Amino acid sequence: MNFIYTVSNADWGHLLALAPLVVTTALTMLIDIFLPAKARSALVAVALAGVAGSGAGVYMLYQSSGNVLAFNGMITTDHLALFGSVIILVTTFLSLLIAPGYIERQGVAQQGEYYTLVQLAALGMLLLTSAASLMTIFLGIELLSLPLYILCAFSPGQTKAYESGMKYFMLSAFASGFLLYGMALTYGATGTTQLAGIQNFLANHQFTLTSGFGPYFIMGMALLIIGLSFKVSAIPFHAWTPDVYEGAPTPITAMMASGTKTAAFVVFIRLFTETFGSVTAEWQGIIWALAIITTIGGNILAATQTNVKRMLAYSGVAHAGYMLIGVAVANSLGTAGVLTYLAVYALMNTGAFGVLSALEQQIDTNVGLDDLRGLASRSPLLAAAMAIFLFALAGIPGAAGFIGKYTVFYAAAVSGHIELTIIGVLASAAGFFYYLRVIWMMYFVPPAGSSAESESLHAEIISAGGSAAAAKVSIATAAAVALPVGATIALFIAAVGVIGFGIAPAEIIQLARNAAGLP
Amino acid sequence: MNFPILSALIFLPAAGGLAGTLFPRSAARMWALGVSAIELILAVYAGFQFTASGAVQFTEAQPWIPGLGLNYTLGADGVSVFLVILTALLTFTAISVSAEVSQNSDKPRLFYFLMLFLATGIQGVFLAQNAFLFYVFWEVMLVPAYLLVGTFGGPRRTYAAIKFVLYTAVGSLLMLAGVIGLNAAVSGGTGMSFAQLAGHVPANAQLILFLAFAAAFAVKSPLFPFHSWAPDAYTEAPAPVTVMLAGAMSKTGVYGFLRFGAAIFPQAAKQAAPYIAVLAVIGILYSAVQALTQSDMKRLLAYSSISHMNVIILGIFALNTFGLEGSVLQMLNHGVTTGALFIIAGYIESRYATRSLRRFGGMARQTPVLAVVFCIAALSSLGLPGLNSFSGEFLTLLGAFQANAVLGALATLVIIPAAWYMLQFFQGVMEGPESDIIAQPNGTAAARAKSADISFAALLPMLLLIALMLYIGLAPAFLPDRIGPTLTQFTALSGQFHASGLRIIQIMGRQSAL
Repeated sequence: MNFIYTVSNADWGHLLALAPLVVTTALTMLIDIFLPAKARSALVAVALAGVAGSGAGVYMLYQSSGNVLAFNGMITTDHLALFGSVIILVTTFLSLLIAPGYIERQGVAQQGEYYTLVQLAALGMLLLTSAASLMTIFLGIELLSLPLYILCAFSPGQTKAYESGMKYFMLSAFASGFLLYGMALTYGATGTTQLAGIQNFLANHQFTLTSGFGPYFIMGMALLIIGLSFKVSAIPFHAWTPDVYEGAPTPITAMMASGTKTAAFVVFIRLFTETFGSVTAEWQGIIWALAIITTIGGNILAATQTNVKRMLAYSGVAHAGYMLIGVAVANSLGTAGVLTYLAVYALMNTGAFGVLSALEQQIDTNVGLDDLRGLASRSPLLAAAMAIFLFALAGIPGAAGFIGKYTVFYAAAVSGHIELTIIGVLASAAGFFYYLRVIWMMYFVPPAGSSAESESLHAEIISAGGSAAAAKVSIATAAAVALPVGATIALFIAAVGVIGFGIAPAEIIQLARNAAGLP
Repeated sequence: MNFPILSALIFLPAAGGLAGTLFPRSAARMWALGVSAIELILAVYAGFQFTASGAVQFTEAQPWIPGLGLNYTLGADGVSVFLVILTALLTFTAISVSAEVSQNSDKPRLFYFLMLFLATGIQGVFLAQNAFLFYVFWEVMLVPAYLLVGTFGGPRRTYAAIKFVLYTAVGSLLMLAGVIGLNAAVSGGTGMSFAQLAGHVPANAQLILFLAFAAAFAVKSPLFPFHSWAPDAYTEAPAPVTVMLAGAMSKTGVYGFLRFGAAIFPQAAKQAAPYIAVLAVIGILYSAVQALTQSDMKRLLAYSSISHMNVIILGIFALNTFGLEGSVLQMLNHGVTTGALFIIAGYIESRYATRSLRRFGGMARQTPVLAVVFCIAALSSLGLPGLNSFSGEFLTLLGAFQANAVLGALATLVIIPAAWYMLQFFQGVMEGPESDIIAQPNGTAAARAKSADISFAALLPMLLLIALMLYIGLAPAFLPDRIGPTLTQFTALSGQFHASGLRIIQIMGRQSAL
């Protein structure tokens, strides 16, 4: 087999979305050397400019027409890739806005490294969404993972942070191993690493479980599912999620939670719904089961948490379950549902983590349920923002999360998987409990030490909600929360987006449908 | 020319409430009162513009989510137009008696915003003309109701709010499954509009879809045995919130039963009707007996309200002329009467800082005017002829009797406990020897102020409702002209509907007036 590698000038144009970030990443490192330590927080502007530039690149690619494949079928800039890229860029943008106040509070001295790594991780995610070959997929996964290993352990002197980084590294390395093995087997079975080639091969060749290339291919698919399930934190490959999310700096958690998830789900769709679309029967059952376990398990696990960050981590698992429902139905409607879900999830989830990072600037430890008590009296706007994000995550209409749920569940029902709709809907009921518990802490419970009544009420809530750890009351939680400018802007954007897309979702749904190849 | 009056009715409260959060705290109440007054004027105006025919009027239609084939369609028919007026009226009265709640809280602006936001959700449910939009507004009600009970309620507010939200959430998530199932079951392009759904839901899917919807309606109404959140929420919530919950929000449940049961899933409703009727009868009697044994006046009213709501459900699932007409009338009457009673109870509670019936007695000597108002409201509740509830309840029970004599007879028994607990409540508080808290030692200014009768300002919202009780009781003819044709349309499918029962009311009304 001869392989001719040619690069045309037109190919470079397909890197429009990546190029600005590459430039600003290099610039960040360069400028960092010359800046005095005090001024390094200005580097965030460079990173933001890079993200904005990439956004402009995505827009230009969206406007251009013609061949979407480039570099010998390694990279694609189809609407699916661009839709995923936009989500990742928005998440990165918000995460960067939240970051300055947070990392200063955490005493991070190496701000240059921080912003460099964030941009590199974003680049990996972007590459992953544009990947049209197994090689580029692996490249993207590694490029996003390596910076994140470091970023997870970035808070100096915190054991939890080291645990987070180490755990993510160890388990993620395993998952990458599975993924690489799966790719090797798939390549062995089909003779090509290009997704289009694999799709073509599968359409023209019959196989069974025991004959021909069948065994290698099936095993390869199973290993690919394991590797990707790890990245989207589907049960039973989710165990790393709460510990890593808890220990990582909160802006990084926000970025991982929706950025990595978006990139991994785009690959999921590209590999399974599209490339393996002609052999749906071989893999649909596994994803179907994963979706059910993840939806139910994630919600149950989230309901038992008293640490808000861990609760959001498990709720992220539950949301991955809802999205897997969209993958499990294995058609374009499901894809459109997953993409819509990813878009709204990025806003509401990043918003919720943004509120947490603002709170963490006030207290030293991770935010427990108890630290939110009386937030509505102390910081009404912050509490209102958090309430909006939580109602959205719970799936109340009027906020964007509902639109995501509806499109996914609707896809399942129309595709004849009404059981997935029912399981998803019932599992959301558990979601109401744990999201609204946070709201009740913020709104129903007076701030610490505000009145004598609060103590008895508090006891009642502990008995009702089962939060024994909530017994500690810190003085800091009686004061208003100071909000840095960047975080304020980020929360405002996220809240307006959540409400806006909740009320007028037509555009985003249409874009998601186009990305999925629907009219 | 084409002013979107229904959109205005829906979004004016929420937009006004949101704007109100920008004002200083002291202005919050007057602003909210103004917004709700405009809402009421707008609703009454729509009521006068509404022509007496079965047609859906003031329709608005906009594409909303073309990708999913969903539209934003609104419209008012003879049932919803009155429920909209009722909601606007109760919002206005509830806000006008909210002074104390907002003064005692550090979040008055939040309170008024949530009250108005709740009104938006309720109006939306009544005016939506497709199942998706109906569901959206249905869930929108949940958020403010949860926050209102939990933030501004009594000592057990957290418990009440959580119980409320879990019951309601499970119900409405089942409805979400129903909406999605309905969307998948009917062929595309309908946008799930009510007009196109009626008669087009496949028979084999009707029952399961109806049950999914019914779960939500049963919780909200509340139908026995899904009612147990209601006594807690109604009792713990401050009086104005209870007025909104029991007076207006509960109607969305029975409206849903009527809308989806009678019109969209007629076969399923017919199949399920006997079972629901049995539950309703149990609910009627059980709640009435519960009301007899309560020592907390708001809890008593809560159970009384549940009992009457079950009468309405029984009327709907009689699925005949009398039952349906009576239940629609009762929806309005129940809102007015329950609203008035909860306002009175709230006033008494704030005056004496207790709701325990044992501690009251002989109040009428100090507050003769309040006693008269209370007496009329109580008589209205127990269904005295000449007041509003009589004709509605009479027709409802007549319909139930026609559908099933045994159930009808059993349900009619409720008259006994209903009169008993209501008179016991009234007499216990107003008549007899003066109790300790009423006969306070003279001297302090506060005590003297207490012994004064109700002020005119506090009386005004009650009088508004009392006037309506008398008006509907004596001259109810304007109702049948508009409700009748709509119901004929609703139930045209079952082919057994003749707008005749309402004629009886017209005649009865004329005779009472004479």
